[in-house]
Amino acid sequence: MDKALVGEMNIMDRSGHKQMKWNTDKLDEILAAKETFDTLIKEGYSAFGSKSKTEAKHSIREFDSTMEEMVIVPRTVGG
Amino acid sequence: MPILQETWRVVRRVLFRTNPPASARLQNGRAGNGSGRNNASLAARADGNRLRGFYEWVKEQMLEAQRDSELVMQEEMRKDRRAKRRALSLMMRLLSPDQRVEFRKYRHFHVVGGSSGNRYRIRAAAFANIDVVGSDGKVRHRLCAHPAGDVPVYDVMAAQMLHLQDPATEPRFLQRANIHPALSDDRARASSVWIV
Repeated sequence: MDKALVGEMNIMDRSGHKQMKWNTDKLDEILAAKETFDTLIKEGYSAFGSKSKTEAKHSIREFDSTMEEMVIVPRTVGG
Repeated sequence: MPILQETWRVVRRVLFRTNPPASARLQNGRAGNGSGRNNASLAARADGNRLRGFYEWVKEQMLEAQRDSELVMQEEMRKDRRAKRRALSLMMRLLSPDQRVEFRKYRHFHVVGGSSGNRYRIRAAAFANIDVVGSDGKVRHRLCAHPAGDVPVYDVMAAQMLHLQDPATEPRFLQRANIHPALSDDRARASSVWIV
């Protein structure tokens, strides 16, 4: 039997970042994480993720619950 | 503004109690000079006491407000430090082992552009902190683009790295970035921040 994974989403903000975790076995947690992801992407945030925490992150457009780690970055502005 | 309202209430109380109506003053004057003078001096002493009390009250209120604002400031600084520590831990997790070593040593790290192959040096600074490094190792120019909102400097650096190393996001990031002339090495070092 496969062991359930815990995915985490780090959302950057002024507190450093907020963390949201989901257990790949629990549908309600996955749905809550997906909803947050979709809302942030609609607001202009960018998402980067990887299947394992040690891998380099790459840009993603869709929520993937099998990813171990995601980083959500506020939209970029020129300075 | 409850403090102002309270102050105004006390001022009014002091003013109206210390100035008796004109008719009362007139009667006191007629009653004879000696007793009038005594009454006046008693009233003046009472006024003085009330004013002193009022002054002490205002001073106490001001000290309390000062203490409150110092506490708020300390709490803000604590929050700020906590945010920087959290951001630093996230950034360190996202860096490769080589980038981590470089950052610990020099307070900057290099990233290779995902689509352009350009070399970027991301420094711990608040403004125009990305140096575009040429093949000769010299800085050609600097870029300024960062995540919107008030995010800690290490979150800014992590976000810049994520955008630049990804082939899909690098071109969009470069389009948004403003270009600034290169700084001399001394000025670049001076503009770095290292606060945890």
